[in-house]
Amino acid sequence: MTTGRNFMRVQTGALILMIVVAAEMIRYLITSLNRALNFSFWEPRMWNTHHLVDPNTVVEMGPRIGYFTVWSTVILLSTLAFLAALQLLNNVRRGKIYHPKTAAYVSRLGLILAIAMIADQIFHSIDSWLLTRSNSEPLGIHWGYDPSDIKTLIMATILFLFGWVMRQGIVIDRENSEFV
Amino acid sequence: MPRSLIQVARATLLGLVVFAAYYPYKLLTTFVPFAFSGAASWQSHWMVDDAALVPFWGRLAQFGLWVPTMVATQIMILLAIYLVWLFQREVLFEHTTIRVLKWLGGSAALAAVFALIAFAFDAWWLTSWNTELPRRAIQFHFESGEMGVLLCGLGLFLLGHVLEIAAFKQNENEDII
Repeated sequence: MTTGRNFMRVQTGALILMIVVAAEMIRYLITSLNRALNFSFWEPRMWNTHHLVDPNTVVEMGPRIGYFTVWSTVILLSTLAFLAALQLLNNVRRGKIYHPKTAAYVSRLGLILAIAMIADQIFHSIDSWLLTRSNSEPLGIHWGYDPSDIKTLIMATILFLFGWVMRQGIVIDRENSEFV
Repeated sequence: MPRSLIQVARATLLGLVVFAAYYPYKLLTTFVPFAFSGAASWQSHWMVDDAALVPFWGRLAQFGLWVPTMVATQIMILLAIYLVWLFQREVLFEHTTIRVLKWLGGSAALAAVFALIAFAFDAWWLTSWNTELPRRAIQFHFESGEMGVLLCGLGLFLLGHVLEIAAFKQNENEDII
């Protein structure tokens, strides 16, 4: 198989991944915002049906606003990560593969994703505290371990480091070419 | 390579090693007692009846449902450690580094797929012995965290593939010269 053909396959792969990422971004935004808004404001009885919440408790506006603010921050950060991924894949689709811009996009995606996952882990830790504030025996803030978040954080750190390494490699490569 | 990059790689390596120990510890203290320490832990689950009679094989099967995810995740963590170790040793654009990157992406994607499959069956299996609380059907449970892992894994796999082609192209050019 020739290299040109291989590169075409990579560009096609990037296009397919772009479509999947865009579809997932739209689905994620709609379902996550809808859930957070329903749970916080539009359908208040949903709060009482949560397994951690006392069924007859009256939940005040404060925890509801707090809950929505916390989760909309995670949703916003995750959406930014989706947009960074789309920008990166679009660059690959346009054939700019071994390019400083691509390396910078890889690093940026890793960084945004890492921040989003750290925020998600922190918010998982205060989630049950916020939910049970109106209970007769509220739960405290505790380490809300989520293995999916940690796995994504690992991937994000690798992306960040690899983008950095790639950028350095490209700089050295260009310097060598200019020297020759 | 800049010193700051090496330092960040070393700090990441430390975090990864800690997680590589924490992950099996967490499995041993949650999944294993849930399956092997009697029916009481199963009955205390919020989806399950307090008096649900779950046979041992039922609990064992629930554990088995999650084993592929656990194994793939552990492989993913070990590959991540190896890759960052290569980075901090400044082994950057070698064949080994590229291959590890590609397989890291592959194992992450596989772990996410296994987790999504397990999530689809988990609630159904947990509630199979319920008589009072509702039983749940097998259904695709959308886990945005696992979808993130899947997309990142596929992205890294693609990146590894691109670099493999680039290395192949470079070798071709060198052969011609």
